[in-house]
Amino acid sequence: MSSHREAPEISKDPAADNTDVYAFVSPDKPDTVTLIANFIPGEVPDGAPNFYEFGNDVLYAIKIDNTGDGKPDVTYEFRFQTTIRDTETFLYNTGPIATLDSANWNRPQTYSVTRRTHSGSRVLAKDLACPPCNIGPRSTPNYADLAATAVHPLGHNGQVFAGQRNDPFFVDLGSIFDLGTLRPFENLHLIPTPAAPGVDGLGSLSVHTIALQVPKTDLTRGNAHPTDAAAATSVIGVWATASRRKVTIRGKRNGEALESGPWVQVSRLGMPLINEVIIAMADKDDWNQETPDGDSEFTHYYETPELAGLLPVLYPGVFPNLAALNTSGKKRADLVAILLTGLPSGIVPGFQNFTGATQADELRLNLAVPPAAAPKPNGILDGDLAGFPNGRRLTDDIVTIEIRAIAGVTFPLVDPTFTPDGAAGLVTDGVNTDQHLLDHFPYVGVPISGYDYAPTGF
Amino acid sequence: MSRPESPTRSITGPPAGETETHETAAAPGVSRRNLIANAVLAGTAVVAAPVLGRAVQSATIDEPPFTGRLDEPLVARVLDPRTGVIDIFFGEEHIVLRDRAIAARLAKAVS
Repeated sequence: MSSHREAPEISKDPAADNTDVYAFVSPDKPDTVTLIANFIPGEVPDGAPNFYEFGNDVLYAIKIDNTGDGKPDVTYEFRFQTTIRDTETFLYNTGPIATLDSANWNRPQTYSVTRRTHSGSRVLAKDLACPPCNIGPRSTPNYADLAATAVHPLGHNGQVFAGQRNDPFFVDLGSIFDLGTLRPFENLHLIPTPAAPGVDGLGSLSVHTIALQVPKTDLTRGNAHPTDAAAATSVIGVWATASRRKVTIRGKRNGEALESGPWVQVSRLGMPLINEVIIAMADKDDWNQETPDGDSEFTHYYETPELAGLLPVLYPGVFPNLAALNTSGKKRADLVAILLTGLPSGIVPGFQNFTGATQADELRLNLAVPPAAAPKPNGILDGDLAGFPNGRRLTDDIVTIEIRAIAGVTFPLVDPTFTPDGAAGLVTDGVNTDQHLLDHFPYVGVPISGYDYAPTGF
Repeated sequence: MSRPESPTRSITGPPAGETETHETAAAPGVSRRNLIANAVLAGTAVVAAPVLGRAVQSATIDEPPFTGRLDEPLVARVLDPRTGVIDIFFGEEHIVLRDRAIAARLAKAVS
């Protein structure tokens, strides 16, 4: 969740596994937009002795479509390089790491940022330092301050950060994949147990974050200033990818490998939870390799989502209207619009993030909608037009929003004769926030140290 | 639907049995002759590795030896020698060489 280990093949390749993508107008710099792509799911903070890092052999990218064709118009590429300072020690660090250039840090990682457009590519920065992982008070004292020095300026009015963070996604992972139970409602489940509060399965775990903040005009079509929410030029589509070289030949020494040939995409993510719970397992690996412009191949999964069929079965008698909708033969045009094309004008008053007829898995953000003074976790479902599915903020309660949408609360947008079940507007996994977020770039919270990490037992 | 991968270049060689007598530009800085010579070398290396200890007769090439240098190895793949299609991976490129003679030599090296 939302795309952690979501497909069979990428679950075996965590360094390239894209877990979440966020895109929002920066609340403290509203002339800019913040794009965040997270990788490496489920990092346990005490993952010693070889702490987590980006893959030197992975091409990470954040892509922006500003013409609605499902193809990237602006791409930011990130390449990492890792060095070993002292080849005579087994240690990640040989003393406290007080600065990013500390000689005590034995395995520093740096990266470059390249911007590609139709007119060519340009290296925006190189040799930028990542922070180390958060090890503990002896190895990484003052970690928050240390990691903050890994926020680097980028071009005009931009910033970039790449390194370990607390996973900002929140979900009761343990319950949802136990036959779709939701702890607050599991007394109503087909196999009932007493209702209980939700548990954030990712709350203590870390990911590796790439966070980018750039002026809005760097991303819009024709560098337009997005001031009119009704204008097509105010909407961008965002997704992230990870690619590996087509050929790898293993070497004999030191893990050396020959890598050759074109980059081949092995992971992608735009909208949350799509490859997780919409796409069938047999197509998940293929989906990860495809490009958004061809996503109409997968439309049938959106039109008749498996989860919509499961809810009335798993919660007998709770979703009668959804059950009737499922058997009516009507296709879920609401989900197709929200997830594949964006919402056209006239559906939600004062809002649109429609990118045209091309069905593409992109996180669509209307840049002309200002940040909300008091963001609501359920975003547009609760009238907050700056929230999901208008882009995605770190505070948006994606699991609740998407379960409710699939349960039918958004179907009246396309069929006013449909009345959602009462439960459809209430259902949730009971985990509604992340506790570690920052109010400034990179917004994603400081990771828990390995020393402080407390695995829960039975 | 398109896969997000760099475009593939295609080069066609002579029909099986014919000898290459001219050089065809494959791409800036990459000659047809270089590609053939190195495809054989890399292809032989790759396919021969699992059968170390077994005598593998080198293919004979009726061309002058390659005297330039490559910044990195190239890798050749032959899925079906009968088609003559040889996939060559070099740098970030995927070059398709169509040459039944070369493909046949590679296949014979492992058969």
